[in-house]
Amino acid sequence: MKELRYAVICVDDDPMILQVLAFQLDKILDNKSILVEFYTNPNEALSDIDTLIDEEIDVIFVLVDYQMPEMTGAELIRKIKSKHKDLNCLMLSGQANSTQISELEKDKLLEKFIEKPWDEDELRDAISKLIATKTLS
Amino acid sequence: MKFTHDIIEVNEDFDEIVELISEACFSENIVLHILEDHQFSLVSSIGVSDHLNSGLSSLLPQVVDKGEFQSVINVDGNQYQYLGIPIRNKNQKIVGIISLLGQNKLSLNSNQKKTIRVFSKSILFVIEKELLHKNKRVCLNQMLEINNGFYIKVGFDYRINDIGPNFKTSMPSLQIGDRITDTISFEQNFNIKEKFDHGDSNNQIYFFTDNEDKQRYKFSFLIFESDMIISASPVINAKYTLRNYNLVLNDFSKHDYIAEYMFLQQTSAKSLNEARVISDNLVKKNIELSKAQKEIGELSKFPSENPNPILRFSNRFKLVYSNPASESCFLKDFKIKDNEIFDEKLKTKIGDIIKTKSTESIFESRNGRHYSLTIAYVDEFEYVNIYGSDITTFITKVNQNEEMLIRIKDEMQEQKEFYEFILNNLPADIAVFDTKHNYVFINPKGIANKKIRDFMIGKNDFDYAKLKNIPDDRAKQRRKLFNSVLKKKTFVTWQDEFIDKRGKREVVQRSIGPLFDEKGMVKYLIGYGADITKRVEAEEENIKLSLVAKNTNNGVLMLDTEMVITWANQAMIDRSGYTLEEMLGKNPREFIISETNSDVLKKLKEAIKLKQNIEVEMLHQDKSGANYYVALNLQPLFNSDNIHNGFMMVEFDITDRKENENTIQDLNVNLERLVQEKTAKNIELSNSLRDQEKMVTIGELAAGVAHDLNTPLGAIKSGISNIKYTLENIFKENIRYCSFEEIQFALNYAENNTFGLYMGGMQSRKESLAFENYLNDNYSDLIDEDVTETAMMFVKNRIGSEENDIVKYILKSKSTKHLLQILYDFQIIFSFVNTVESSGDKASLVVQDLRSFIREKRNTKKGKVNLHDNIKTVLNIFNHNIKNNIELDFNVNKSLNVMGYDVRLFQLWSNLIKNAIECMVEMTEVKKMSVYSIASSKTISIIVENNGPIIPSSQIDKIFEKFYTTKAHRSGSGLGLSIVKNVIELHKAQVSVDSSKERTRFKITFKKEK
Repeated sequence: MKELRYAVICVDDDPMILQVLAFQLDKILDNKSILVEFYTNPNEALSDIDTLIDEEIDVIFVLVDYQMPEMTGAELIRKIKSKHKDLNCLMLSGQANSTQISELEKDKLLEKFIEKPWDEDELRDAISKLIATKTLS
Repeated sequence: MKFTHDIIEVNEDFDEIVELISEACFSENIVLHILEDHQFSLVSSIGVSDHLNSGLSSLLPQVVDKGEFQSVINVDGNQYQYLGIPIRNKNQKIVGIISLLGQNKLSLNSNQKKTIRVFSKSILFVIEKELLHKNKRVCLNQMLEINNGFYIKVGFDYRINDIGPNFKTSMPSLQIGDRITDTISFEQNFNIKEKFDHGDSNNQIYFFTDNEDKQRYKFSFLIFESDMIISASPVINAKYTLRNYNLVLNDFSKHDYIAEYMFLQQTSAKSLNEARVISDNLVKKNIELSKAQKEIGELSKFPSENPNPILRFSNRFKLVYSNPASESCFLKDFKIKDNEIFDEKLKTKIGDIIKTKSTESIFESRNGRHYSLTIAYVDEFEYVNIYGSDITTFITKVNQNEEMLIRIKDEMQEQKEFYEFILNNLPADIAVFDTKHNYVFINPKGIANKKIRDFMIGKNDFDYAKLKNIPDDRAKQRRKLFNSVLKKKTFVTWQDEFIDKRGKREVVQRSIGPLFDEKGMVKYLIGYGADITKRVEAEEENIKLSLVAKNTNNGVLMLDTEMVITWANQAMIDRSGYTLEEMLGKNPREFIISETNSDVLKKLKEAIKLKQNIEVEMLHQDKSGANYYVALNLQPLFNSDNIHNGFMMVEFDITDRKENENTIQDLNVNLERLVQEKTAKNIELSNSLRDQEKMVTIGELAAGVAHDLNTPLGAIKSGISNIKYTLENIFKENIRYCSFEEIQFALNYAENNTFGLYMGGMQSRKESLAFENYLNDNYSDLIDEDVTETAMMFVKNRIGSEENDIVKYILKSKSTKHLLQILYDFQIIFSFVNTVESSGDKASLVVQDLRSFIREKRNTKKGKVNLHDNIKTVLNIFNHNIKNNIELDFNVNKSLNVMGYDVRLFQLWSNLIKNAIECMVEMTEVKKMSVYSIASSKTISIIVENNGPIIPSSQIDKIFEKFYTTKAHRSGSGLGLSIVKNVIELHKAQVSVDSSKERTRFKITFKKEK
């Protein structure tokens, strides 16, 4: 088994979205060297990111939904960024509050915003770019 | 005629006069009645029983008819002689009756008759004094009323006794019984204690301020009957509009009071003269009276029984005889002792009489007693007789009467000053003319300069024109008017409006009319005028302002009766693009109104003609030529006399709404609508409005529904593309390596096992490792390099080591790897098929909910609506906004039903819920919304509550108005809560709103159906 160096995190409260993401990421990523984790609960995701980084696993990106219980995607991103400021954050949402998004973008906290329903190629483009920068460096 | 037998008005003067009459006429039974308004009132009586008194009822009217009257009456079996003597006033009208009663025949000698006449005058004075006093009081009240009813009466304890009607309105804090200084503050030099102590009203103007309202009043005062009467008038400021004064123009036509005053003043002057004459007469009569006394003395036949002292001296000054009556005081007073006289003056007088052998009457006073003495020399006996009479009481009474007259005179003077004071301080100019149009009186307001004022008395307007060297046009004009008033004998009132030298507008209301004397002849003419400029202006301004204030956002035009613009508000100027100057003097039809529809124009024209209120929608044009639609309200205006004096036009820009309506109309070209349009215009109007409301609701819902549809549709879309991709995978490669049986097995397995939607990377690694160990332990024949891969595939397929048979079957296959792949693909397909299916269900649910909003048929039919289900449907629609975002507490009892229109109720809830959600959008703390029910025996209430920001109390009243919105540039159409209001009215329900920092709450209460 290959040594694990990378991870990708997906957070969405809708399991069906995670199912689609799991399927699509399976096609896009080499999941033998990249760990792909799914969370419906943002708090769980937050603590697992800390653990992964403690174990020196490079988290390539976090893909979050906007509307979630307990906290919004914007809040989650701010929390992640406050601890790990180099971590790439992507958002996938159909009903995000535009002022919150533009504030995130203004603060340079958001790598990419993808509108639901999304196009698989759009997702692939965004992810591939990030993977390439990470794994080649 | 009416009789009052009980003495009601106790005036001691009457008693004393009656006593004096009794003395003079030697009568023991005397009654005094006064007659006023055909009513006899008993005011004093001596020695007459009540029974006897009532027996007079038939006699008194005979005295009125016949004058002095003698008769006999029987009371209780006794026979009485009766003599009634009328008391006449200066007009010979009978105002009282003196009744004498006796057992023997009553005959009065001429002196007694004279005495009674003198006393009648005294009685008349007392009566007139009372009358004057009464009139003075009435007059005071009337004068106070003339002065706009702004007066306060204050007692010597500084407490308020009475408040004028206008103060009651303008200063309600003023209360009878309160100390005056508690409510108002006197300014500067006014010290109420000092003014009370000195009682001087020095005609100055003072000021006070209302403590509460800070309204300033100017006033002068007067001490009357130990009360201070404050006559005030408000100092006009912007805050005090006419409304506060509670006055109308008619207040100024109370000319009757002034006329009455003038009349009273005349009579007072007359009475004064009369009083002087009578007082002179009285003095003369006193002398006559003393003569009468002399006669009485001489006539006295029975010295010992005579109540007056009678004495006889010898010609050597020896007292020869003294009767018993002289013993009480007379002897002592004139120092007569042991038959010797020691009073030198009397002794000398007696000596003179003896010398001259004459008879003389003298008045002498000793020790405070007054005596009338008749000293007569009786030649035949060489005696001197002294007939004395103690006239002390009489003299005292006469003195008192004189004092009283002086007092009346003073009071009349005071009264005159009092009226002049009021007239001089009235806020009106007053002039009185004689019938030749010469001035008799002018107050300072009429002509300020005292010299000119005095000069003008006895002169006329032509003299005034000459004096001022001005044309006499005005004098001619006034003479003409004067003559017509003189002819018609009625008051004429008119308003003069002119611009004074300084360019200030002045409006004066003038009246002129006749004052009549007692015989109904015109004696004087009184003219008066009041400057009502401020009032007229305030009134005009008030009308403008009150209306304009209400409609500041709407364009307002003030028009005169000819529809010419006299004023426009800022909103009108802004909307039309014209300046005020450009609009003034023009008719709006010339440039603003661009409507071409003749029906509308006809309607407007008709309303103007009939002076009716009208509301129409029409096309206007601004300065740039652009058209805009307005809802126009034209209102006729009337002044206080109900005379039409113009119009007000308020317009409300409805261009947006109109355009929407047009769009809707364009879209709805179905037959039904066309038929509707033709049949009933009213229905069309209400329908279009309802449609509009529905469009708004649906439009606002669409945004939310879009998301709710978006998610399942997105899932369906990606699910299908994934299925397609997987199927391609299957058919392209893997299917070729598997047997039919194996494919059958894979399908069967995939169909019967629920496939976890996803699996985390870490877990799948853990499980793969475990499965690899399992494979190594149990299937050691597997090729090394394949084990890891195979284990991972099993885990991916969620096949555990406990499923022995399955694992064995798969491993037995010729191409395990392909079989596992095809199994995985099948499972993926089934899983996505499930997802697509459930997403489809979700989407159709959303559509169902949405459809229930739109279905027209259900809208029109009233039926039983379950509140829980109805509200739940709405909450479903808003689910995307609520879930994960707002803590919702939904607790509506499932058993509650109302009779109503379900779709309309959807609109009700959705607007309330939407508002609650929207108002909380920017909140950072936890958002909470509760929807719950409270039911009582008669009502069902639904409460929609949120913890969003407070609605300021100033806006609570407005939120249900159409087009009112706080979300000016965001999503608000301003229709939301007006829809709520309509639905509530439709269901005869009630809504209440209360908003605090903690929460905002809408409570809808339905009546329970019986």
